[in-house]
Amino acid sequence: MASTSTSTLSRKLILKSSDGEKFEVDENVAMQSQTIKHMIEDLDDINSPIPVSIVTGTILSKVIEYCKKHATEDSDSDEQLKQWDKEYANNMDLNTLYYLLLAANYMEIKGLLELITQCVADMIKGKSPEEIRAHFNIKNDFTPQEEANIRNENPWAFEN
Amino acid sequence: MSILVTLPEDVISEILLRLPVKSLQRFKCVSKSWNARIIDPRFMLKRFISSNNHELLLISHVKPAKRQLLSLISSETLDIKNKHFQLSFPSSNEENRSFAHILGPCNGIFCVFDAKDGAISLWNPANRQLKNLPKSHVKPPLDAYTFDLCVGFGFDDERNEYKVLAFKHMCLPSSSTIAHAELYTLSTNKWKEVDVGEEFQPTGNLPCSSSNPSVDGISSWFEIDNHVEKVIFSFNMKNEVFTKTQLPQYNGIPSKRVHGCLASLKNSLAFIHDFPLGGVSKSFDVWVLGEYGVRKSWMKQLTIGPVLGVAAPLGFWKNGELLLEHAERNLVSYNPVTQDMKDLQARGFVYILQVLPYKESLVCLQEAEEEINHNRDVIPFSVFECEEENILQIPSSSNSLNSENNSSAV
Repeated sequence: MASTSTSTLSRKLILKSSDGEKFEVDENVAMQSQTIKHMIEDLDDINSPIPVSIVTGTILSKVIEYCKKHATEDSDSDEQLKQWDKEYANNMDLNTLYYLLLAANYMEIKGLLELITQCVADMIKGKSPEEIRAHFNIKNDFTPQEEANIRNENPWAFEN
Repeated sequence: MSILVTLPEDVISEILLRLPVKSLQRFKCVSKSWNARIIDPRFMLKRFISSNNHELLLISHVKPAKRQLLSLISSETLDIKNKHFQLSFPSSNEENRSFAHILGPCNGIFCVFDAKDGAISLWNPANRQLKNLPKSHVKPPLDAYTFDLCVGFGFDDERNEYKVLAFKHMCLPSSSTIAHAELYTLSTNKWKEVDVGEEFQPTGNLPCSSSNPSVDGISSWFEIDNHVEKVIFSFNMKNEVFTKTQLPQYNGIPSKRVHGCLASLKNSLAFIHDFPLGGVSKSFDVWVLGEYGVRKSWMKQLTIGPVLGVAAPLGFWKNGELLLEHAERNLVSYNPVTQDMKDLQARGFVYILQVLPYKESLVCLQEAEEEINHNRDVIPFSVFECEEENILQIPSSSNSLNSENNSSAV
């Protein structure tokens, strides 16, 4: 593992997913999550597993992958890191991406949240209102007249 | 394909913050809650501040057939996007071509005015809203006529208010000159008179200037004081008070002969002094003002150059790059560190050639627009969006002007 050389300096923490899977990570990796950082401060015994209650093992392993990459300050340039982020996000299927978004939001990992929200924004920006409703399961609660009024305010926004 | 998760409100807001204006306008009709979220002023402000949109430049330049064109250019590629706007306005027609001057932006809003006619509009290119300001009903001094008009535009962040100052140089029958100032406030859609003190009576024509920047709600421009001295007049949109600031001290150069431009640099007022070095080479001293009204508070930041073949400075943008009018009347960007010069493919000359760093915003001008359409007492500006290829096929300004004339005459 890439972090073995620094492991003598860094404490280990155990994160436990909602479905009981345990992950041992370096403290500096886990501390990228503000939520975990606050939990540790209140914790007497750091050897007991820290519950990450709403995140499953599959998703948590992806979150840890991101945090590990961003915890090591060595070698990678900003450019390489950006490229890595891009590939990381592109390799997710749609639902994994949204579960990851929820995890990043819950765990308060700023960089990951920004990465995924930008990725979602890029994905949906060209969609029509109908496609957006279908995508997010949103019910259209406008009357046809109300909707037409809004459309007529900015007809240019509906042109390609 | 539908997603399986339900996203919390704050996560949806985080996503919306990253969308372009066009998508947001379209997504208003997704649902009532999306609409409410998008039109919330707090959301707009947050989006403007946190916007990671690439910065754009709005360029006012002149195309063949002497048409003034406003173009958006992306900071990343430095290429003119396929987004151009043509203005049509009161005093411009086929025989009598005049050009509009652009001020701002303040939160993504520009102020466009026609010095010949005095018509003023506010314009948000991101949502295509244009608001023609009503005519002022303030009574000017008896029998006086305006021979020079200076316009200032700024945002009063204490009252969340956009304001436009019309600072008029007027001539009295006795042929003495007097300054008369009127201030427009967007929320009331009205003009009122502002008191101009004795010491702010200009004693000459308005010096030509490529920009009247507004920094932190304070709008500044050049004036001639005591017939000889070029100074800066500033108007604070918050407390509605004028100040006068002398230019930095130059040994032996009469200030009337000091050339340069005013610009906004990292939220300060900057003066770029334009130094001819003989021949076609120039250098530029960049000064930043610490305190309005205090000559000693000018701080020299750096000297740029010598640069070959440039006519005049126009301003700064992003990484301290200097925008310059080239001697051949095209717009160039100059990087003081690498000394690279890039041609931005725009042509123009003093006054018309303007470059304004800009970020899109959703600030809404529309409500007030409807009101003015019902009670129109000025011939308005209009803006056409056009593509590079068919710039000349756009309805000519005189045509649209005529139709506007007809409608307003009824």
